[in-house]
Amino acid sequence: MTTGGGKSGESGESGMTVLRYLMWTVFAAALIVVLTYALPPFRTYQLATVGAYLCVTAGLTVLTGLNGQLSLGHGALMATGAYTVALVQDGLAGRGQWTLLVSVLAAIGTTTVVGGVVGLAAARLRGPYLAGLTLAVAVVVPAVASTWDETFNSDQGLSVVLDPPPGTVPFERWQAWLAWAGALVTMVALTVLVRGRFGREMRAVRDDETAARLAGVSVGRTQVLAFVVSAACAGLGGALFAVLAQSVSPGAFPLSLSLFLLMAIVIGGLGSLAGALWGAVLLVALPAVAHSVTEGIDAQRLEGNLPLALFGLTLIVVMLAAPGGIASLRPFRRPFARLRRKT
Amino acid sequence: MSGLVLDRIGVRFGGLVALDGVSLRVAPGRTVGVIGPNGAGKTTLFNVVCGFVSPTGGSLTLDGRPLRPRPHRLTRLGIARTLQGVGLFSGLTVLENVLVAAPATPGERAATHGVTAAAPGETAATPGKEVAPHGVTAAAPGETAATPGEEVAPHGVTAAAPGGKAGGRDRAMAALERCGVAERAGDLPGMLPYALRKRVALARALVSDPRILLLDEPAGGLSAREIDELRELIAGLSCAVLLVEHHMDLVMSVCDEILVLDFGRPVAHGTPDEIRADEAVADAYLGAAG
Repeated sequence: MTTGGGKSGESGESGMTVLRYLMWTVFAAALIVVLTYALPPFRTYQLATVGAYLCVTAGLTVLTGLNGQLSLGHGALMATGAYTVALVQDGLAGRGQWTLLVSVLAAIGTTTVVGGVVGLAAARLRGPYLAGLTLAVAVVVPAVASTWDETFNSDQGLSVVLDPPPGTVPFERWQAWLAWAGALVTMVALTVLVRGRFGREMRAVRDDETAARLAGVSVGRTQVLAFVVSAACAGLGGALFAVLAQSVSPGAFPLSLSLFLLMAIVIGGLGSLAGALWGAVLLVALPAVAHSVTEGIDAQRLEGNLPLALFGLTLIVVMLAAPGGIASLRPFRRPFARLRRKT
Repeated sequence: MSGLVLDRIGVRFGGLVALDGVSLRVAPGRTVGVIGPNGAGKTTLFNVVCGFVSPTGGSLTLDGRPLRPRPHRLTRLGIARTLQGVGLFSGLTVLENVLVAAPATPGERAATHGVTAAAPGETAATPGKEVAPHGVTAAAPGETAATPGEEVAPHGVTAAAPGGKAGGRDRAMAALERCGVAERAGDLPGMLPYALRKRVALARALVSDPRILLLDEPAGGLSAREIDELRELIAGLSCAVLLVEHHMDLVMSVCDEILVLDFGRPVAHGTPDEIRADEAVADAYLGAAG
């Protein structure tokens, strides 16, 4: 089965549903706050990175898993968001903490527009042609950065001007809060979207375009909207990455990033928002594991390639053991299944 | 002229003439069959009505107004269609499959309901249709138990959701019940036997409460018993039906009139009895002697 998220599908605008989402969100937010106080700074920074990745993987799994559109270009959409934050922050430097919200919103806006343009083209393409188009988007980033190097400063990239966190909050903790605020908003928004009519229409289009048309669903509109939503999530993720790294450069958004994102959502469970969380965790954990392994055996030459190999290996193992991804494994599926039965 | 009217429709694919001068009227409440050998253009005719294929000649009108069909706007016009290959959404449950086609805005649909409800005279104009179902029901009493929904809502989904105010979920369940698959609402289509999948597809077409229902080989792959159930279902519909089918017994028993196509051209048009007696039809099917 390709779907994991929102199988029961029906949206409830009822108060109960809203209340339950609210409770989950508050619970998750509390957990993050506790973790940021309990973990050492570097782990907190990793936690923040998971949050930023989660925005992207959640959006990508909705696009690819639920709407059937493969994107190899989400790394580039992240870059769009990240560069927007860098430019807007630079322009509004020193005016206070609120500028960050403005630049993140600007990043989402810019990526939405770019996503709309790519989505319009993507909605006319299928299979390998769609992959080719999005691949081209991923490849074009360094070229754009060096062509307009007065704005984007070529390979060196831009630094992101950030105000110090309010009060005595350590920087990593502040970053983790920002990243997870974005991640939780993304997750709630996508959950509502996926469980409602639009989610059903996305999956209908994925399964049978002709039948979807005859059922009154505009296939092109659904595909473009799905791409725009997914792009906005990638833009938010990219913006958060700019905040975390405090710099943006083409090297931070290589083609392999897009491939990693895709592998992550497949391993996590395509089309499942819970799987997107697993994917985001793996995107941070596997390179870290690879790093500590190479440190232990003193093999610097492996360092660059080991994460990729580890990811490939994980992909193969997970696909053999659980073709539906980690989220489809029984111990992880149960709490969500119970959640749905109550609906 | 009310209903769907096809006037001298022609379709060419390059040098190939798929349809040539096909005229047909589907009046409200009537059941019209389209038959012909493989490749006669039956499905192409459906594709023209649905907007998948643009006609190279002729015109389409719906209730006297020119019709420029676009597939995803059809249900809003009151036209629904089933597909030859069933075409269910494999990743959606049976209920969700039907919900996709359930009208999004009840207000908009209420207007369409008005049209359906305000045409009682049309129903009276087709008395044969009203008589037929009872006869069939009586002939197959054993089947009734298998489709209890039909007994509850004999006049379709409209009766179950009069003002169009009922939620999409209620409408979808009513449509499933009518087609006798309500108890499988939570299953994925892949878990259902073929005959039930076809019923789900029918429920998905009926949930938009169409005025005109296009059925593309609904009996294909069904057993004799299942075809009897289908016959009852079609006969019990209050909307107009345009039926493409190879199963002659079914076509002859449910249709008010039949159009016969051969190589894209209309060969005969008339009541089932007239078609049975027509020599051109036999020629089309068996090949002209000599």
